[in-house]
Amino acid sequence: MNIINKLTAKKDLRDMTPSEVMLRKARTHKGFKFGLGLLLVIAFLGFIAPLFISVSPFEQDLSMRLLPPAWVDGGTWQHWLGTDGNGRDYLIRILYGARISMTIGLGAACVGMLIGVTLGIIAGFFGGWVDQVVNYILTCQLALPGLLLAMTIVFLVGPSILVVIVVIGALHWTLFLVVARAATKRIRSLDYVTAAQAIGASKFQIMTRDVLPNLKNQIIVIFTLEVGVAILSEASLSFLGVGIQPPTPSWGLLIAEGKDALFYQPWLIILPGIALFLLVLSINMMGDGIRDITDPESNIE
Amino acid sequence: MTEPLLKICNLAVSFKTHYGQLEVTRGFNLTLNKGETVGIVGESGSGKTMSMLAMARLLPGQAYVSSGSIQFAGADLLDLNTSEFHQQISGKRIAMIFQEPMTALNPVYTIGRQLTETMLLHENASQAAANKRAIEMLEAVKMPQAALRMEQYPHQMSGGQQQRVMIAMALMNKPDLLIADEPTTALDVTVQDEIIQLLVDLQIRFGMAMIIISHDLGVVSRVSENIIVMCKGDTVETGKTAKVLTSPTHSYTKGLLECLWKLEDAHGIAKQSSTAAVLSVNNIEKTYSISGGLFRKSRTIQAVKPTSFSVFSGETLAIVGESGSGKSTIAKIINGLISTDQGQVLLGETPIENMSDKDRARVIQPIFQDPYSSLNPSQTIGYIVSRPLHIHNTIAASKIKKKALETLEKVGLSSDFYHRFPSQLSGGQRQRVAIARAIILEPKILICDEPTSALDVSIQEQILDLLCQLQKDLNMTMIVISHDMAVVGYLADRVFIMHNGEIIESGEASKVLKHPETDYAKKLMASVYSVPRAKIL
Repeated sequence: MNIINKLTAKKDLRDMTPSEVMLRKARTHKGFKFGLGLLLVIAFLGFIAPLFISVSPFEQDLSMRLLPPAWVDGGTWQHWLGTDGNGRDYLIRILYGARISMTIGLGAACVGMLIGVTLGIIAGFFGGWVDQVVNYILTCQLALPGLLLAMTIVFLVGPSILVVIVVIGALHWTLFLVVARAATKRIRSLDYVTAAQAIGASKFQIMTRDVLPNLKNQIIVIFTLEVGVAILSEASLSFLGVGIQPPTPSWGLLIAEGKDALFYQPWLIILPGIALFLLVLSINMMGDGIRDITDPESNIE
Repeated sequence: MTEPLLKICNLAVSFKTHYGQLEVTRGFNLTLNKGETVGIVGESGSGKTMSMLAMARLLPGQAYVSSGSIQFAGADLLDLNTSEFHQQISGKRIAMIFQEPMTALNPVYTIGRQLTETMLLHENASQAAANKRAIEMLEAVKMPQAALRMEQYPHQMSGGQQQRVMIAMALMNKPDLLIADEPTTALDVTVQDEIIQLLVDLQIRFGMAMIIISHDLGVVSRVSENIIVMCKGDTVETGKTAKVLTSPTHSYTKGLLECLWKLEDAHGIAKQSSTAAVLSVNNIEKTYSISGGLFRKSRTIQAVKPTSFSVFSGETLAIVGESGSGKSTIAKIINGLISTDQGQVLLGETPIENMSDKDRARVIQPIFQDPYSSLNPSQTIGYIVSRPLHIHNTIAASKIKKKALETLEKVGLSSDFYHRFPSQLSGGQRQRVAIARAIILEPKILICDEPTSALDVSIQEQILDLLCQLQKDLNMTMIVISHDMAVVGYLADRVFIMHNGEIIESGEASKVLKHPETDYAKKLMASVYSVPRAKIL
């Protein structure tokens, strides 16, 4: 029995490509499945569901101002999650907010990844003075007060979704850089890079073909982390009034608008807060899951 | 005493994996009396280390003992709970030494502190008593200037000295049983000899029982009266060492011995080589400088002292030496991967630094030691092998796959391998892929840096045969860098022996290996263990 067990186990390992092994791990990883599921639900609610709802997030009805959610005294099933200070339906505003948050989260993380990974590979691969220059840039970046800088830039350039994405991305690449640089340094000393040099591959070919594909796993993990961070940054910027501009519904903006009514209508803050919490939670759980799945040493039962 | 010190019955160790339970050893039996030595031999993955780790309770996280019993001095070790085991057995009565002394010692504490730690903690000994005993033990392991060493840190010592410290540490509590897991594998051959001798002496002096684990039959046959041969988790043969080696009964043992003998026998079939030098090295010199910090001076290390030699078309030249002798630096210089400080390397008539990377690649190709790091894990075998053709554009794109498959076949791999990833291949198969990648451009010169030292004995021979065959078929010149005399004897026509960056002896392989002239070369040859011979059955 044991021998049969052993043989089949061995055969499985041999016949599976690395990606098949990962897929198999992914299917059994609870945190990953939960995170991914929650994220898909939020994405569906944000991007698809509003298409079927005829209510506009901008339509004001001053006779219906500051209604609480339907299940609280004074609420009405006409507005499930109540209305805001201008009598706009809160449910549809939160759903539209998911769009903004996810777009900015993904977009900003992409911008950050582009900057960080490129610099990291270059620094790790060439070493020497190139590495020192990149390190200097990194130190400068770390010394700057991020949020303050973002506020200044957005204030000067003028706020729009694109500007917010670029600014947040341009301020969140340090983690990508540190990880990519360290991994590149390690990979650079491996024999397959030397072998590539020996067959006459150019430096660019080595960086894109030998180094980059082997950074993939680490980058994915950092990427999911940064998506969460970027979403929170957007919320902070919008809360402070230099991010997304009203009347566009962003979660940070909803919280900012709701803060005046904090003591007699706390739902205006609690509801977008919950939405923000769930989105960042789902992304972080997925990120942790991906880290476990892509780690060849890990063994999830 | 009639009762044996250690009696292991039917031990099985299993791993919990993602794919179910994986048994790594089964039916392992061992009986050891006080003062006896037993050797366990097997290739990597044979389960030899796992069975010992099980006894020392050092199994990695997912592994566990799935059946069997371990009786040590009358008590069942598996019945003890963890804290009892640590208090009574581990380090005190059973001590273990490992392969890599460098990683087993803590770099931030002095040798003295590491040696005395257990004694201070467990025996409530005074610092003075513990120090006295530590110095005694350092003297027992023949460490020069023992008292002075107590204040030193691990990095201030050589690998051999670190291993001596590890042994001294194992002996601090006068254990009844010493387990040595590949104690000499990470050391240079001349140091290996000293450590093995030391272990034999100490065992007699302290009357310990000893279990020595090794992949090297030579080491085991030198040290132990009894031997256990393991293969893929099974014990295939046990008995008196002399008997097992002279009349092996299991086919695996026979095969292993034949491989060894074949490697040793292959001396001196010098090929006729032409006098045309394909490669000449003129007075090359290389110095590495280690940059100092703000308050430290930078140091320089002369890796290669001025050296000149020529390599002739069709021959196999071996460069032999211990680690740090400069042999790998020379290989890298010839390969154009690092530049020289002085002198030049001529490929035919052209200096290597004047050639473009691509031109050089078509003439000279390397094969590396570790097939686990020489293949890019994220690319398929097909891509890895055909990549040189894509880069060089020497043949039409449509023919590239065909050529790659042909080359794979030349190194003994079927077309099934084309779409696989390196992680799905064994070490030997990976090395074949690395060879295929090197020969696909049909280079004139192949530089093999320790081509087999990361592989098991039975696979070593296959790879060496393959290299010989390919050399003949493709009419290549080979430069082999190695510390393994068996490999050198098997492949080489000419041998250079390097020591401290200089070539100290050179000549025909048969002459240099059998009748070395310089003292260092003699020492090097003397430290190679050969397995006692018997008629092959």
